[in-house]
Amino acid sequence: MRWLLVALGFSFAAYFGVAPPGRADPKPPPAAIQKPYALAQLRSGASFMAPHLQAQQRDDDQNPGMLWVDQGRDLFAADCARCHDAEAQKRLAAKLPRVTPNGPVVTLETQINRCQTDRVKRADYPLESQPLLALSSYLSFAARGEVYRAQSDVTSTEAWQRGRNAFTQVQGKLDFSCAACHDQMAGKRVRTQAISQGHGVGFPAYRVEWQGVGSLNRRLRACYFGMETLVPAQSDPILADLALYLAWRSEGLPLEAPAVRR
Amino acid sequence: MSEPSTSLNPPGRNARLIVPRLLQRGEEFTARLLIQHPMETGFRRDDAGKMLPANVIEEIILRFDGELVFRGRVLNALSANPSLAVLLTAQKSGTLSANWRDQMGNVGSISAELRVAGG
Repeated sequence: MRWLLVALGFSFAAYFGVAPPGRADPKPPPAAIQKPYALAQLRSGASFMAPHLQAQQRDDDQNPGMLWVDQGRDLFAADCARCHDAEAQKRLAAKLPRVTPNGPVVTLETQINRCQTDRVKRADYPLESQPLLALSSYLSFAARGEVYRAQSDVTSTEAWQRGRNAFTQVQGKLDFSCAACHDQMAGKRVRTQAISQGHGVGFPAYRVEWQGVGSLNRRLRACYFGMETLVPAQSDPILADLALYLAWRSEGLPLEAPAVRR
Repeated sequence: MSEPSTSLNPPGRNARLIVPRLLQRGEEFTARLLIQHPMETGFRRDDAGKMLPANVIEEIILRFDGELVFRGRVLNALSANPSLAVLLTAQKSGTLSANWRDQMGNVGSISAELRVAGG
């Protein structure tokens, strides 16, 4: 009788998909996953902008994002240079976002704040605060032209899968998903605006709409708003998961922060 | 045009003044000024619905070695973080300085060294 119960229990677990603990989740091998755009097809957001905005981005003397870079350079010299060599930090922004084992996704912003609390021994900078944007702009600028390389096993991580689900899930009043536009309709227009391929390589970017520099986190929340769906809170980890997915998706495009966007 | 040199910036800088690195005597050049400023029009509200008071840069002055070379009254037709380009001619090396004042009485300044060959 006990034997039968145990067998029943196992079949029950199998039926409802409850995997016994300690066994790996059966997932397709990561190599099988195709990116939406091949390397040669990748186009950064700048190429979808009006010519005058492209010109403003190309010329550092006209790019208002450089004001944030200047302030970030000063902050770096004051707070970070004690431990970090500015030269050695050149590629940092190209290495993030990264998945930590059993942990959340580390973005450039979380890495800066981690240093801020652990090493500088000061309170976190709030997201979208001037000093955080200045530091992230400076470090992204230092890595300008570098290419992000995703971790080899990133597609088998839960964070990446959550990011992809968020990107491909239809949501909001307009029945849109991110992929519906940015994977399939890039180059066409929605209302009056060209649809980009949805890469985050220009962020933190100066957006004319914001009249200031904002992070990818803010840009993604603006995307949710535009899709007329629930906008996640700034601290929602789904935004970091999405950033991770986007970085994997745009792997091969050179970083171009601080970019100028409309 | 020669390679631009960036300004001598004080800490906590909020502007860029860009001039060419080396000039010939009498050469016309563009001095470019980029100021970080909200240029608040007075027509916007904050997240709580309160009107944001108007605050735009009123006056920008450029001086070369103390001598006035440009005075501009700029009002609310400029966007946030305004960029200004001024055509100037240099006869000798010296310091180009920019000063501005907004409606709240905040002042800002920045300067850059001009080097004229043989001057």
